[in-house]
Amino acid sequence: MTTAYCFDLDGTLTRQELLPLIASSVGLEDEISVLTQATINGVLPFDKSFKLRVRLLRDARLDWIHQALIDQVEFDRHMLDFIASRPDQCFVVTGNLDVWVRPILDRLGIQSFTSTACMEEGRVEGIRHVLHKGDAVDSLRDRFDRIIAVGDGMNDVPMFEAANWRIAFGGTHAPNPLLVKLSDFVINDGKTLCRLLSML
Amino acid sequence: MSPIKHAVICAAGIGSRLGLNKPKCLVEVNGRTLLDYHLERLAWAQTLWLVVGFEEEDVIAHAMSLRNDIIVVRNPDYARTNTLQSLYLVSRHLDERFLMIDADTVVETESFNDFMAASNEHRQLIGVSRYTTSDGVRVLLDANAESVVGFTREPHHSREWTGIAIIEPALVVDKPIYVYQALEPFLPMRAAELKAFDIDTTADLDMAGRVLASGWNLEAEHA
Repeated sequence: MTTAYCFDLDGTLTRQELLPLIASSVGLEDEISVLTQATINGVLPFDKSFKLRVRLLRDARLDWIHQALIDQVEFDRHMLDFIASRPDQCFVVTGNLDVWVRPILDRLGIQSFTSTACMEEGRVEGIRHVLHKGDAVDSLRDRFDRIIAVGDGMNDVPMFEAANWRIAFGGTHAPNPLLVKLSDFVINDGKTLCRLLSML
Repeated sequence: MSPIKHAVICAAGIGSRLGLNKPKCLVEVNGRTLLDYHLERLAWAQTLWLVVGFEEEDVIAHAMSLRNDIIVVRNPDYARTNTLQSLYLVSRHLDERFLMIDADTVVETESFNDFMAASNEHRQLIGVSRYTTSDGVRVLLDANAESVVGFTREPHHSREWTGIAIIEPALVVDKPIYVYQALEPFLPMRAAELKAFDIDTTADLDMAGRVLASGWNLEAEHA
């Protein structure tokens, strides 16, 4: 049986939420954090909040954003090891913008599904496509018998609905309560997560 | 280091007979919840599984505040399933023997450590206790009092099934029967004595308070 492991990025594979770091590169931390919190709490739908956040951050230069992420993003060592041991079975499934999180994805070195940006003269002009995480899982169905999803937020709900096993992960903050209700397992620790993934 | 790597605590049930509107694992005895005692006693477990159901948010929050590396297993069907089916949610992922323990039990630590030590000698173990409760399931022992040969509801037998055992995952089936009924086809199995009993009623809870306060020195009351 072939298994695919689908990981959310912000706060799941990374120890920090990425948008606040991106916002810090242009001094909009407070504005973005309000929107991020509203999204985590399920007050604001992900795609609406994400469009707002992209609009706020449109003037941020990509090289500033990338530098902020490279400087500040940390990973869980056990999760990096797990991914490195099965790179063809592991996928990043993130609603975040492809051009923003590029250095993080390069660092992880696995295939990814992201939202995509509309670019103009090297700047983010808008969003071409907001990723629906359920579509990402569905697109893996012809290659994998079984899909295991790991996430923490409201926008992981469609990924959980489409997966065979669902793990709500609270590595950085308690996972969204609705996501917990859809999950098979709840785990707060990266090493423990990898131990479970190896047993499923 | 214990040869047993996995410990499974079943904490999904409603505990309706106790009649407190909270999961039994969060009931306090002498100022600490049953879950506190379990997690402290199982600190050695490499992988600790906790099956939750009734009031799961409270159980998860409290458990994670005590130990962050627990694998919480959700049993959303807790109202219609029993302990064996909660156990199955874990055992189907295991390929080696494991310790199972009901969250609603009180256990004396030294006897528990002896029980775990006995797992070096015996692959599977059934925990039996002289501490008996009003509606507990009793065990029938062989002539040497070394093995469990049967389970019974007849209260005149002196040892009670504790809900604590070390078993192979293959023994656990996804059926709506009691755990002891799932063990029956595999008897005789080695018995190991523990000072322990489960809390099903307010009388059991009162007894737990007295027993813990007396340092498990209440043999007369239960002989």
